[in-house]
Amino acid sequence: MASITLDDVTKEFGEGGDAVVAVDDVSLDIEDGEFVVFVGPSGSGKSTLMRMVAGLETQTDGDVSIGDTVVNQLGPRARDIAMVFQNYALYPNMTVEENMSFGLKMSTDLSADEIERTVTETAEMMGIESLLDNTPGELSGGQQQRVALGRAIVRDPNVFLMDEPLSNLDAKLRTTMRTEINRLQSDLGVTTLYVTHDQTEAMTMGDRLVVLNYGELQQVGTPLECFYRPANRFVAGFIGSPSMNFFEGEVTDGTLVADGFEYDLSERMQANVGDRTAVTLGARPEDYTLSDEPTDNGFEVVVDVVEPMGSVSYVYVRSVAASHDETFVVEVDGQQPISEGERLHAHVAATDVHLFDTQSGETIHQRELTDDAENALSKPLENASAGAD
Amino acid sequence: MSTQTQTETTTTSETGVARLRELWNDYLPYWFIAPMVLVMLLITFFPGAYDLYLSVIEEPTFDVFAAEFVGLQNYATAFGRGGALHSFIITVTVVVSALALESVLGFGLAALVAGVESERLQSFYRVLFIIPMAVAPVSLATIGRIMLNSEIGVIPYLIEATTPFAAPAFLSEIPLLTVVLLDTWNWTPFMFIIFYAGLSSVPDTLIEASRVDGAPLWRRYLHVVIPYMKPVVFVATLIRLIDLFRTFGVVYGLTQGGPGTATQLVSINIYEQMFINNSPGVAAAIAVVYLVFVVAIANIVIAKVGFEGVWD
Repeated sequence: MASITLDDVTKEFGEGGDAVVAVDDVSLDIEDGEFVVFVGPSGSGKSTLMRMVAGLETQTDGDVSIGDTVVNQLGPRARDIAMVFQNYALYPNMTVEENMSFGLKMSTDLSADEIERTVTETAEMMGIESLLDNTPGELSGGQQQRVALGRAIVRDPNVFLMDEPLSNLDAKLRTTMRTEINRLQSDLGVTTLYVTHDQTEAMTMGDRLVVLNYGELQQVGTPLECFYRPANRFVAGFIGSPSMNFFEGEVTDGTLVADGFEYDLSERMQANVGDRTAVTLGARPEDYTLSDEPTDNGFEVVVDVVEPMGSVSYVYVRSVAASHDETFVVEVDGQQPISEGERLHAHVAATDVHLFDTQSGETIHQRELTDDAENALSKPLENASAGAD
Repeated sequence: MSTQTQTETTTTSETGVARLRELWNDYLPYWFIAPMVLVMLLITFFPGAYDLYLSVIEEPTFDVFAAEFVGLQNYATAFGRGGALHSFIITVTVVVSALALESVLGFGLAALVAGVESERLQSFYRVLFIIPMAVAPVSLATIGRIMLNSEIGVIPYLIEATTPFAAPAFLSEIPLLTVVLLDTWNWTPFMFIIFYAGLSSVPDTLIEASRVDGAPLWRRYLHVVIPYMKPVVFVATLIRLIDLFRTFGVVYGLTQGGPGTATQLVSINIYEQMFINNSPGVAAAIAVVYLVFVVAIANIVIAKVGFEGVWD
């Protein structure tokens, strides 16, 4: 078990003028036993960051520490880590048992008997004891995934590193394994770094999220903090599905004028906006209502496409007054009858609105929450994954 | 034509075209493989059979039935006076040592070049190490004779100039080793390029997984990389093995099997029996034994190691 500290870590690929900055000056403290998810789109540097913790990449600048040791100069072998790869990276020439015992043989002094016992115990825990004599080629994707996890667990390392371990699984299996990894992590209490581009995995798995974009740290916080208190427009758009809707506008006399609608800002909003004029309004699809009657701050929309999901429907609508064809998403109750081409009034309550500085993308106004939700955010959640079990 | 077809055609009394069609349809699979069988007969079976025929007659004649049958006498001559056994030993020595050297060197070079960071440098090395393979055997032999010459050769000169040792007379004192080394120089590139391609096919994550598992470099190669490349290693070795058994030009050009019979490969022995001693029967006898020998070895290797598909 160990904490992990990243101190001004930078990674550049290439030399001189062609250099690409993959990770830009990231500092981060990860506590012992914590489950931290690195999340971001492709090319955000999340995998590179993890690979630097693994020792598979060397940072251009900055320090990586595991426990109290600065590990900059140490190879993966000396860092006492175990890693699960996206394509599992099982050794195809070895049986499951050999795959799982390889790390123990290479990096410990355990006797053959002890290794065999440890491997058998772990295999039983993972439910793969019947597969021990098979080679990876004979296993299904889900079974390979379990073996890859088992191979990491059997090492009893200081740190687990998981690089998109679920992205090669089908959707149903992914959900099952998500829960299972959560359970394993809380049972074992090993510090875990988990890389994903899937915001559902990020929300449901981590104690804390590290949101990255273009190699820069966007926000570090619990999943709900990132969801309700996004630090900037990128985080607001990335966390949550479907994504938040954004409308760029101009603030004049306490009113935000966007293409297609106007929105009267509340006093608190106006105070937060200050003398800015270029402001972006953000509101999540589930915070909109669609009704037949006009409302304050509402505007008329025409329904473009309806995607029924069962319990809810995603309705893509376009402002009637807008000069463009772009639609935005509204999530409505699945039983609300809505058909394409229908004209309705869209409305979002002042309490649910986020405002962003259009130039910098910084959040300048956060939505309001109920007191209970607000209190839950102020202290880090004990185990954000508990709800998913 | 089977009797069944005959009875059918007579009872239904059809026209000739219909009979042809029936013949075609009844034996359809055989017609399809017939061209291949014909080619095989012409290029494999006929020369083999003719070789076997030559090995059991006194002397070839225009009228094949007029030739005098001598039983195994040519074989006795081949393994007695003909020195066939000696040639087999020489050949096996050359094949085994050259194959070992070429495999090890080829793999080492491939691993080194694959480890070069710069793309441009890597492709430069790739081209550089392939060049020897492009040299024709006779040119190579001629170049070798000049470079290794005790009087005017650059290699003996360099050895004497840069080391305290006296240069050996390559072609007279250590001819067998010289032959092996020259073949190694010529054919290591072949192993290099196949192993290089094989190394490139090993997934990065597999190597990373073994690094995370704590395996030191040599164990990564031993337990992960080489087992993954097993099919490639096998195919390359098999091809080179069979090819080495056919070596002729370089060695003949370099030493003509000499001095004495020190480098007399089976291929050279067969050539000399045929064209210098004018004993086609003896040459054919050695060739028959050699054919059986090489085919047996190739089959043992295939059976022992086995063709295995690439890992999924």
